[in-house]
Amino acid sequence: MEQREASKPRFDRSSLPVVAALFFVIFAVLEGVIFYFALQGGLGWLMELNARITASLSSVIGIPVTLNGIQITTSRNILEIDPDCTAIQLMALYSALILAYPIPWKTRGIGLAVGIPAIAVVNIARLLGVVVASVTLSPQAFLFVHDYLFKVAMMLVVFGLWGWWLLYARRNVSQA
Amino acid sequence: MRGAMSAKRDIAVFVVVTLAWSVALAAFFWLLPKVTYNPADALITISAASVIMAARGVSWRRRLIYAAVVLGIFLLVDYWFLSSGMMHAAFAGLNAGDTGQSVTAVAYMVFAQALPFVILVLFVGRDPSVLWRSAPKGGADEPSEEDRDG
Repeated sequence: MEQREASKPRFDRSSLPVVAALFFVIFAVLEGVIFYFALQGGLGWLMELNARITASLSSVIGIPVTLNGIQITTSRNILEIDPDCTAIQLMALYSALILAYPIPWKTRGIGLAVGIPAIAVVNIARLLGVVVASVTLSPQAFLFVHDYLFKVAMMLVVFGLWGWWLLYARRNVSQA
Repeated sequence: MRGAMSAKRDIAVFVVVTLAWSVALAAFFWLLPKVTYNPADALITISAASVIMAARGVSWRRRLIYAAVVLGIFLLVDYWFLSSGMMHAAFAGLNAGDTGQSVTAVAYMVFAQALPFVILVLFVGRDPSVLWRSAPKGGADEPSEEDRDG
């Protein structure tokens, strides 16, 4: 019984301030790395990949676009994929949250393996939504959707994934 | 099976209420003078405050305190950063490749994006179901049995 208590991962209320502080530090480091690479032009491949996938899917759903590097030209305007459009900061936020909890690495690894691709997929859906909005909505409505609605939606997706993972981790920890 | 259906309904209610709160808080921010905050970063705070306000398993007092803390700290720091001129200098420096100003700009972004999550980690605790489950009668602030066990 004692052995089981000793091996039980520490994940209680008293550790929450440490989790919060650790999250902040990990995120600061990840954000610093992201900005360093962004300033060096190291995120170009990611922006191009997002642009290519979005342009391909746009054609699949019947919206003709022209792709030129990171620029997607629709019938009404030109959309440019910048580092923010790749959702890499959201992935960093989510990763920092997962890594900050003092629970088994396997559980954290599962959280990252599920969450990061999920954010990438949802982000592609968002970019596709941006393309659709750009050809169907008025410029003001497009700006509202792009600048406000989708940003809030993406944050809620990150909150949702974190909540899912926390439930999953809780079950694993309580079974440990 | 019935419990699973009930949990799904609770989560659906929570999502709808969260979206309603995000609209209400966005309207509140819309009414504020635009020079006191950065709209893009305010959206992260708005989203977090919406989740906090929609948390059915937590008392109104606790929800209001946490929402006020996250909104208040964000607005105070943002106001100070903008009104001191540091916001413009930092982001101009970032675009121009000035290392010192770039560090200031990144530090601001870390603050603006991490603050809502720090508050949420403390608010949610170790049980995210407090967000969508109905509050128990007579003391929603009490930790759940499993929390006490933890």
